Amino acid sequence: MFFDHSLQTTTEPIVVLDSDGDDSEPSKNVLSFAEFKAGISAALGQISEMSIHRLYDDFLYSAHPLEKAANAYLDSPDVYQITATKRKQYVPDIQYKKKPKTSESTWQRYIGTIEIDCWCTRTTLGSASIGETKYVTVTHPGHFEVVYVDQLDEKTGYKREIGRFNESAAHSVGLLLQGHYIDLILDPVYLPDGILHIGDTFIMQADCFVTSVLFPESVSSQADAFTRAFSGSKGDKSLDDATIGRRSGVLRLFDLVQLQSPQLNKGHKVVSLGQNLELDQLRDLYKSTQSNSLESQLPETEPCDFNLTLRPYQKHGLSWMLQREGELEEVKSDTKDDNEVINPLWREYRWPIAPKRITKLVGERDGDSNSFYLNLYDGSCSVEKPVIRSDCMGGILADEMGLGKTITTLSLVLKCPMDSVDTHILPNYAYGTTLIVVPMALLSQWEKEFNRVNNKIKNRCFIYYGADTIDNLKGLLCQKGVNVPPTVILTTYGTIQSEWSRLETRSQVQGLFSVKFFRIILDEGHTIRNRSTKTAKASYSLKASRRWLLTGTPIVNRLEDLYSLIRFLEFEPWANHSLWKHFITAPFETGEDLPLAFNLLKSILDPILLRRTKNQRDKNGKLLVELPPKEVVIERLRFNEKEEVIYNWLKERAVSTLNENFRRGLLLKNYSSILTHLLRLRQVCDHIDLIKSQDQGDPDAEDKVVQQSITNESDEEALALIREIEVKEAKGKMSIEEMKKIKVDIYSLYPTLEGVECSICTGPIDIKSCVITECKHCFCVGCLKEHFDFQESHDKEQVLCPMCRSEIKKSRLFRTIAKQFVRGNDEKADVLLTQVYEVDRNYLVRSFDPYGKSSKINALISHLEQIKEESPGDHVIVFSQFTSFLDIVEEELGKYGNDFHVLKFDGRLGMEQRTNVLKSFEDDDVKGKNISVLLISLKAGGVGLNLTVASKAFLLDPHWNNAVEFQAIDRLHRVGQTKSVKVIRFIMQDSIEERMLEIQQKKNRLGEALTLNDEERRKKRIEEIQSLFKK
Amino acid sequence: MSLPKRIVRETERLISDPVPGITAVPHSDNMRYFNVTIEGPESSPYENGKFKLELFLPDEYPMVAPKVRFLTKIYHPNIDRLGRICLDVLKNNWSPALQIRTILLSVQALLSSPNPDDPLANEVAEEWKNDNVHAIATAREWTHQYAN
Repeated sequence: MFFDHSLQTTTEPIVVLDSDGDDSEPSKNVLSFAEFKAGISAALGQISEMSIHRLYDDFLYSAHPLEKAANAYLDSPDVYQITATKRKQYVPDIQYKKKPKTSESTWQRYIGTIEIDCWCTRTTLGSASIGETKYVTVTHPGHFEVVYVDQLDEKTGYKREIGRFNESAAHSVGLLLQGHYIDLILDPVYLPDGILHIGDTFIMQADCFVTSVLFPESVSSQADAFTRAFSGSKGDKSLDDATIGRRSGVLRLFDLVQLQSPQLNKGHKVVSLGQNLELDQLRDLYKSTQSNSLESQLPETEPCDFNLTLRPYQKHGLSWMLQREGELEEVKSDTKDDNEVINPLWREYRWPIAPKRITKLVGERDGDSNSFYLNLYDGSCSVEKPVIRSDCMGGILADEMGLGKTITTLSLVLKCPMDSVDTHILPNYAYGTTLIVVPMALLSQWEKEFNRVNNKIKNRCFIYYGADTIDNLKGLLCQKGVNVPPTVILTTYGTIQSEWSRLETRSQVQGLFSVKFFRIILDEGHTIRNRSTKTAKASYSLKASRRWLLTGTPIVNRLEDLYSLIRFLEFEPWANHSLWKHFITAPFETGEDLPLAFNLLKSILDPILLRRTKNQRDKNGKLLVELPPKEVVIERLRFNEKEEVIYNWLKERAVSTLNENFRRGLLLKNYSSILTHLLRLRQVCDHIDLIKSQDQGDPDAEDKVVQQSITNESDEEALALIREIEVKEAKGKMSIEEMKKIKVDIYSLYPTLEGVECSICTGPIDIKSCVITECKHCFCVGCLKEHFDFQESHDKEQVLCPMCRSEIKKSRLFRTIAKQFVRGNDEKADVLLTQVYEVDRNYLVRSFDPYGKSSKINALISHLEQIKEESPGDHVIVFSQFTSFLDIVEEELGKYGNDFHVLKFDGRLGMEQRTNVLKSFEDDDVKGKNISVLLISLKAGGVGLNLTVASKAFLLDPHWNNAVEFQAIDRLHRVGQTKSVKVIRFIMQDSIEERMLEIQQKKNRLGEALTLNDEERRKKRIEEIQSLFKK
Repeated sequence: MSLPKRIVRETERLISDPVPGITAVPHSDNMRYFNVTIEGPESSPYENGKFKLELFLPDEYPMVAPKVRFLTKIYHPNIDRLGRICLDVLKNNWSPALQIRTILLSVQALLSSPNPDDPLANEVAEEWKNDNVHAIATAREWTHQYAN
């Protein structure tokens, strides 16, 4: 039954009854290959053997084979001008058909049977009259989607066309047949006896076989091929039509014959991600798998020339990094093949069991495996399991903050400070130097760390920053033997960016870009997450043998972020953007093939990314890092009346502007004015005075645009409103001395608040909501407020105390708070507390000023006073996004004299000042009962800093992205922290800040994060804004 | 509208811990409306009398005073023919710290010590000032006649 395709291309001449519609003159003689070759070489000169084979194959049966072949060769160079490498991509390996001796590498295997509708193209006799007849397929040389069915007389080799496949079938198999990727064995299912007329239908059963042509020799060469295909072409259309045709043809055919793929079934069950994939899930991706197995796979490597003892997981990290650099013997053994991740570009298919009627085929490969693999990208197949291998030296160390990425990295640098193999490959190779790029704020910290851990004098660290830049780096780093080059060069992102920008204007390359480093490390690597920024581009241009990224958050917002990191690592093939877009971002955007993309992403990251988290456990079940507990509390505050008036007024303005713009369709155009409104509202949440000042410290880029139009009309009106209220409240405030005196009285009057009733509601008073008047009577906050409101609304000039009828004023009130701010799980702490404060009081008295300072400052001060009394000498961090708010806080705290030792750290400080501020905060051994407070602008101090000296923090205002807030919190909650960490986030009730919290939640949704272009993001933002103003 | 906690608490306490000589029982269909009786204080012209009053708690209570009125006819310079009472704590001197209980005690105290200098019933006040003995006798007589 089997008809070997090679008959068509045998060197023996075959006479064919050709009825090709295009050819008026049927050719009787078929050229031998030798003749063809001679002829074609005469016409075209020296061309490759491959090309000749292909031409011969395609035009053998044409009317004028040589002429047509020559024309085709010149007309479609893509198809016929084949070089040896190109061949591997898509050209069938025809060689074996000519030389049957290579049978071990040529084989066919059954994949299924389909029935194909055909129609008769020439009047012919039906099956019965022909008897034992073979049917073969012949594709039209120029149009592969035309497939003829020929009758073949085996003895004479005569072929005679009787019909064609219908179009859809021909479309599926034509190209595959032409490329000899598959073979069909035809058997008539329905072929009426008697005369078949033109146009009559008959049905062929086709047993389908894949041939070894579809299975290029090795997977890796295939991978190379498609990498080349990508890098060679620009833009999205990166595959040639033939390959695309093959891919879709194979997929269609496999679908038709119903090949089973375990992956497809599994895919539906296991990965039910849907489009609501959340960033968290993605984060789980690199949180999950490898690090656990890593422990069992990798030894613990001891560092050398190192002053510190590494923790076990850091030693594993070092091993992993060394392994990534090829410095470690490959630890993986081949026994774990089964566990290896299949390259998700490939799909596994099960070989079907061939029906009995199919007799053993020539060169058939059988039994050696149950599955084969289809490359979903170019449509080729493999019998070997394709496994992703990464050959870039380096990777992403994405340990969670506080696990000591810096230390692990420095241990790598010192363990392997120079290239021991290729020292002289290039004259500008800085074989013994590692370049570390860090944010400016961390420069001195890195230097400090290096000097701390290094214990070999010859290893030194050079800071390449500011005035200390050198044009002739080559002279310093690449001269072997003259003097020892610095082991580490520390520089900043700013430096590389400005040097990179200067490259364009300078003819001679100098500085960092003039040498190839042994190793580059980018600290806080997510800095380059946006690939269109200069900084990112500069980082791509830096040359090095080994490339590393350190980051606690590889994905800040979008999957594109990750691309930029991979691009920097030069991790092929994914560093190619169109490939990345095609396989990763596009599926995540459209939601199609999501499980596939997800798995792919996982397998891309698995080898190059190491992430451990603080709550991960080692093999003994111990946490990697035993950090004290962390508690983050949202404290909702109420506006005081002045704030409420102004907030509502501004909000009304904002809503009406928004609606106006929305009606006129100018929402996007007037985006910046909306942002101004938003900014104003957020400022009022902090302090109404922020409207008066022109704050420059807001971190959002958009807001900076806003700064220019700072005082517009509505602001003027708002200011007038504020002034009006301020005049009213100017009267009578209590001095701090007065306040202290009354506090003492209150303490002696009420040893405890237990059993004290509010005379207005006649209920017991809760410490949290107790207000005490100047005349020392206690009321619930709400009750007394109602009293004040009622009296005021009835135009009473004085408000009297309900109890004693003496005059009371809102500006001269006190409130109490419970004494339990810092009560950890530790019972000892409690004992200590009671010893220090013999009084058994369970409350503290604070001034309560519903008008005066901002609600947030009031709350902050009362917390600070509490801390001061309960744990004097403590260090406290206060974060805000508004530097001008921090200025106000600084001033307010200053009023308390020595009670608080206040320091401020923000973007306005130079490098040296920053170092000094941090140092004096750390060294601040506050004496007596006072506490030390560090005010930090979220933007300047949110990353990198080590503030473990403090264990309490306040976040005065929410950020749009709560990852930023958590980064800030991790400044305290990291290795070295010994106390339990308590963080309080202030949120104004019923304000934009609560809406921001909601948006923070939404932001975690990947769908949001993936939105690609800026315009769309702006639109999303507008929607967000609209939701902000709702209610 | 549900009853404020304070009113509930006051009512409960009036019943569980009543003031001697005073009863105050809320209406079953309006808990803000109380039927009140006050016994005439000893050694006052109202001794042995049992005076009925009505007490109503406005919506704004306790920010404003309860409304209290005598239902029983009484001869008193600070209480008029309609039973309205002239008492500072029921007007300007009201404080939310005062309660039903304390207000009724104040009313009871008013019976012990009438204040004809700040009258509501002018004729009674004149009589009280000009012919105190006769006035007290009339009060006693009214008490006997109406407040039994």
